Amino acid sequence: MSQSTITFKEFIDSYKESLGMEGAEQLIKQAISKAGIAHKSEFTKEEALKICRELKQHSGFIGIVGGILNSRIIIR
Amino acid sequence: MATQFATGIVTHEDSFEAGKEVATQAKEKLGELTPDLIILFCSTRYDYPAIMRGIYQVIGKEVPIVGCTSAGQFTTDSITKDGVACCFIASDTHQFYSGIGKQLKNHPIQAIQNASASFPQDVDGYPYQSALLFMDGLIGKGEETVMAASSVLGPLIKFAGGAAADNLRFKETAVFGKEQALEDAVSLCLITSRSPIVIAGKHAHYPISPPLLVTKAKDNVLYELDGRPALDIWKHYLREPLKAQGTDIDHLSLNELSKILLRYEAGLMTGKDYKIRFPLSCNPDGSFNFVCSILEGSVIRIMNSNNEDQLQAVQQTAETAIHLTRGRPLAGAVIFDCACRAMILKEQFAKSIEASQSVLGTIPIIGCETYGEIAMDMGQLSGFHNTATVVMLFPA
Repeated sequence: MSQSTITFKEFIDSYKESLGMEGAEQLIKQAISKAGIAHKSEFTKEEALKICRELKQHSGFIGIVGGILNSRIIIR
Repeated sequence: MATQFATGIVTHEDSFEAGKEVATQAKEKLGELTPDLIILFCSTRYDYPAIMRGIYQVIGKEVPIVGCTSAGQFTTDSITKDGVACCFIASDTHQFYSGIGKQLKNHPIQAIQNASASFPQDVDGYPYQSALLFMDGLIGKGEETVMAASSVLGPLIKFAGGAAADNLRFKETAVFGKEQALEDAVSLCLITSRSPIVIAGKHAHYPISPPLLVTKAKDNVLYELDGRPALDIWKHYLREPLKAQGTDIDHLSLNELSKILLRYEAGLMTGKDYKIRFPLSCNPDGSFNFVCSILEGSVIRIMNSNNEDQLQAVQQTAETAIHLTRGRPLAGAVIFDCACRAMILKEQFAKSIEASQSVLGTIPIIGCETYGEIAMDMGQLSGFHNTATVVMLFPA
């Protein structure tokens, strides 16, 4: 994995502690789908930011974590 | 001077007198030093501003007070269910900046921004940053609040704290900060330190049900598991264990059921471990109110715990925390313990304090029982726990 790619696992790991594995997987798969991206194990920075944009639209901690992820990906 | 901890604990009926008495106890232990921060835990039966006035009368100046109402309070000297406990911290190795934010339920980020508006970015000579975070325990925004704090304050701060409690009454809880006691609020205290503060946490629950799919949930309300009302599912798995204890689950009121749920919580599978989620209460339609959001599509298991595991978890948490100090001398400890632990341990609860003390040694300890415990290391993306013990160690 290069610094400019973001893995599916990385997204899951960001949410699994608060949503559980299954909840995190469902959330990320939905976000990927809504972002119009094909499901895969690694995403470009641009794709990852699109996924974050979908996550940020959720209310509560899902949206907040989406915002944090967005910031972290931008500064990579 | 370095850092000095001094605690007090009382059960005085009158709020102002309780404040005076608890402060007098702590002041006598602190000697000539003046506290730089006061941590306050108390029962909801008190008039909180009167307690604060009592404390200020004893110390003669307005030192920042942070803390919350709790389901129990303890120090190395005593344990109370309806008392007041305080800790005076005097330090030239830590600096404290406190703030309070309102309307936490509807505007968590704004509440955190308001609470932290006066916090410095960096403090010369104090390179390590951590924060104490207290939130209203009944608004169902546990994880939101912690993540909002991380989002606003940045990833280089670690957090410890708790969700305020009201001795299992589930009516109202309050946090203390800036000489105020507020509901629907967050109280924050940024601590900048010369040596790192250590935070460790652990739960002691194990699953008693197979995995259950969350088929209907909204915000912090869980309606259905596997397509059936959540309460029906819970009853199914608890009927036999409770029968063995002489309790008929089908003849309990909603209020009685809510108290039982403190022990039989939900566990979100996170890989090898479980993240415990505490159902605060159940509703007439068979749904549960949790202390934080539950997502449809999540898979949970109903959990249980026993006294032995609870005591072991307390000891292991203290051992982990001590290990993380790398042998640095300590000034004191703040412990956040889930309100369920006292309910599970009953008369053995004192043993859990002894278990912590046996590991932490003779340092002063202050603690409270909460509706949610906060432990989040730098960079983590989840920090709100239930049924956990969180130990926060201050280096001397």
